[in-house]
Amino acid sequence: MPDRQEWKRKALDWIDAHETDIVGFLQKLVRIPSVNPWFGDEENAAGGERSAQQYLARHLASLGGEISLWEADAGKLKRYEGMPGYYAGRDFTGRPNLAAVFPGSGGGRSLLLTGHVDVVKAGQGWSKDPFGGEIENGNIYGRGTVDMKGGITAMIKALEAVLASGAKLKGTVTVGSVVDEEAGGMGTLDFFHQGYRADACILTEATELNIAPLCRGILWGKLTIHGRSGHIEMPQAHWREGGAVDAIDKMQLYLEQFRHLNDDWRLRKRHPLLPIPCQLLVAQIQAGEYPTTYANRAEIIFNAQYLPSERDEKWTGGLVKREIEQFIRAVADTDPWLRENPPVVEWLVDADCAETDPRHPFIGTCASALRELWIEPQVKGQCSHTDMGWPVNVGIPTVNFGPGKPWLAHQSDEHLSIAELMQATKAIALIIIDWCGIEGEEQS
Amino acid sequence: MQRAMEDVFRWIDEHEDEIIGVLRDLIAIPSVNPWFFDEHGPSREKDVQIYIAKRLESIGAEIEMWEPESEKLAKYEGMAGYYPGRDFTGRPNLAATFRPAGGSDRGKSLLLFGHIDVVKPGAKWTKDPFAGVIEDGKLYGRGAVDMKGGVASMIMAVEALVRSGYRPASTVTIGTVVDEEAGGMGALAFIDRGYRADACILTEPTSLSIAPLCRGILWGKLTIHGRSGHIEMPQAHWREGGAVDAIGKMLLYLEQFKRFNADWAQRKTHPLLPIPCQLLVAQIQAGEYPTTYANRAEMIFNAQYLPSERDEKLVGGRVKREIEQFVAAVAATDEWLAEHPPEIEWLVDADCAETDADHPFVRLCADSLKRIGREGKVEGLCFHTDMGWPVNVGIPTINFGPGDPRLAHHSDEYVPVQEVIAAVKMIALTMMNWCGTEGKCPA
Repeated sequence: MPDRQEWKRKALDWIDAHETDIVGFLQKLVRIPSVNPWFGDEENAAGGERSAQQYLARHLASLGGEISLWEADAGKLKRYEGMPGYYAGRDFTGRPNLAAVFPGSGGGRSLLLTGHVDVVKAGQGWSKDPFGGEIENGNIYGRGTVDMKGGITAMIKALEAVLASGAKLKGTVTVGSVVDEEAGGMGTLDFFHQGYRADACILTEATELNIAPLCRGILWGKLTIHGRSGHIEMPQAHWREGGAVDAIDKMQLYLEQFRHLNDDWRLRKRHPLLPIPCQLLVAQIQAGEYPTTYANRAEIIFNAQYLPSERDEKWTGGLVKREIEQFIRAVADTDPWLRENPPVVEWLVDADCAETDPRHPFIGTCASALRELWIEPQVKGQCSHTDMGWPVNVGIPTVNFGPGKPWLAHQSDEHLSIAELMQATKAIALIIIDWCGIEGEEQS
Repeated sequence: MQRAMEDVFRWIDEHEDEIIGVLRDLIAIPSVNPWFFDEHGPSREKDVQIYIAKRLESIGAEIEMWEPESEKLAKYEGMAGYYPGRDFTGRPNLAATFRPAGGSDRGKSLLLFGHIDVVKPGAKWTKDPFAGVIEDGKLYGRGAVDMKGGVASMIMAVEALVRSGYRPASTVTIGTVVDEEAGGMGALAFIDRGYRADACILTEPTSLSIAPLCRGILWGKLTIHGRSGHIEMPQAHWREGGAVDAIGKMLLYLEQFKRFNADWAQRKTHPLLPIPCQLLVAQIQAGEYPTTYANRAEMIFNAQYLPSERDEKLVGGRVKREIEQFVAAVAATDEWLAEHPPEIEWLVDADCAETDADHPFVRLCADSLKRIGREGKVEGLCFHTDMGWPVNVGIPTINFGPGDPRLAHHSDEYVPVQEVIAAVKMIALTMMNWCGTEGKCPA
């Protein structure tokens, strides 16, 4: 029997020999525009998630996986009310989750490789077809190349390489691919509700090949500030005498005050594995009705991040929500109109977070795989949300590890380096072999 | 003259319900300017014009009704109220002319002028905006103030005179135009048609004060460019491809506009105006979705200017340049903005004008008001009215009408019924004194 190093060399050789095949697999996946329906992009959303899942399922079946493809049922997940990823009444018709189980021969540690197939809408400013998978200067372009069809390709092709090497894994490997990560994470909740478990998990979100045992929670809130319309060119009485109140002016107060809040958060909401602090950032504004009238209403959609240590008893951002609501209230209390007409926060999304102890042995396994590829392992937190919450909540040590520069996610001209895709594929192949173990191998 | 005044005032007092009924009829036709439509659809402006034409024709007016044609107004390029290609299909102007017996004027002629389009109702009404509900002496409805109250007053002033058995001794023209609420091309077309008079009352709401002055209004759209990027992630410097938050840059402009306005507050004042000119942001739209720094922020602002600030084409070109220079100067303080300058698109320039407050017609109007027991206050209007073109062609013009202009464009817009009646009397009296009367023999 070959020793472990020989199995690894065979798997790596297979990957090197199949670069065109690996790149082609990703291109084909990018060309299925699996835009999350939350974004309202009718043309590119209808059935896209399902087509992508069917494409993956066919391939995983051809590798010998035991395939399950099912649609989540929001009604059956009611017990998770108030917990991460639960959105009452969300419709998963035509939006299946996928699991492919490759049973081990026994005696090894099991591994879950998981990711999401949905992508955000293309948005504006592309110089390439966002669903074309074009290649230029060693990069593949397209929506999802980074977030996270590149990671899905790497994990499936890594497993394929290990299987192709002829190695028989001792530990069971499960490949999971879920829907609806880009609008809350209910696909992942359902996946773990189905009972899938393992001794460790790689979520192949783009980390630029960093090992990320941590992500941040993300809140989306809509702040509605009420004013009172009135002719903008005319003298206005005091609002108590019926005069107009400019909602845009009150909104400006909040924009300025959020800077103060962020100054405080900048020092307080940090983590040693994260490069930036948590902030409350305004992403969208809509205000006013027409040019002759003081704005009746201003709506601000903001994005605020939180740390795993800030989670409430339901593993979500309830404490941080209360903190933001209190701040908004405190600002309103400085202004007589706002005190009597308090702005309203509507919470749109709470995407949870989690943390695996960076001293866990699985992180060591990941780091040594990178060293074998002459890559200096970097253990760093992920600034965005990933679906790592539920695997960690059910007791699975989890890291995010995948190809792609995470700041290109959701951007126009999102692209992935082919070299990085190849390295991620190799690293995951090595991690599979080291973590699951190979039947009958001779320890060298 | 004294008897004529008594006859006419008595008629008005005895016909209050009919006068208010006409105003309610006008409000019931939702003549919203199509600029406010979300989807293309027929304007109801024409139905108002037909209503007025029928009414005035029945008491002896010569009627002319025509649709303005923007191609024929091309000579006014760059001037007030000209918008190339604006479509007036189904949106006619109306002129109803009363000529003295024998055809030649014995006194001075008068133009009674107004617009019949209204802004869209908007949100937060507690009453049906087109039902003309009367409560506690207040008549509610879109246009009650701006300016169907004034239009009803001028129509009924002439009707009061005629139906009391008199006629004006000089030509009186009632002109009602479309499209004031989105630029004033209806008024331009009216004046271009050749209508002239020795004086003009534009019956915009003034709370019954005499307003020989209005302000010019600019609408501009300022577009600020950023660069999208994942909002939760560390961002490189923009020169290395990092994101630029258009909302952050927009906040810079909101702050700078406050300083800009502090300067204007000192500089752009007029003795007849209660407030200075300002640049005020009315609408904002920014950002694409919650995980991304805003790629772009758009602000629509409203800036006012004084008649003394008009350029050689009698519009706001100089003030536009002043705003553009300020926007550029702010951009120059920020490296990103300096290399990616914000853009201004000018949406509307609604002009302004001024009649000397000492002109005999202004004094006659103030005197008429005093005669009906009102204060006779002379003050400027803060908003635009269509008085620019009558003044530009040499017609001394005042704004005078019922209703508090602050309620214009507001939810639950209303006019006090008694202000409408007072306006009918003031206009009738001014007309009798300015034009002279004929008809019944004086006692």
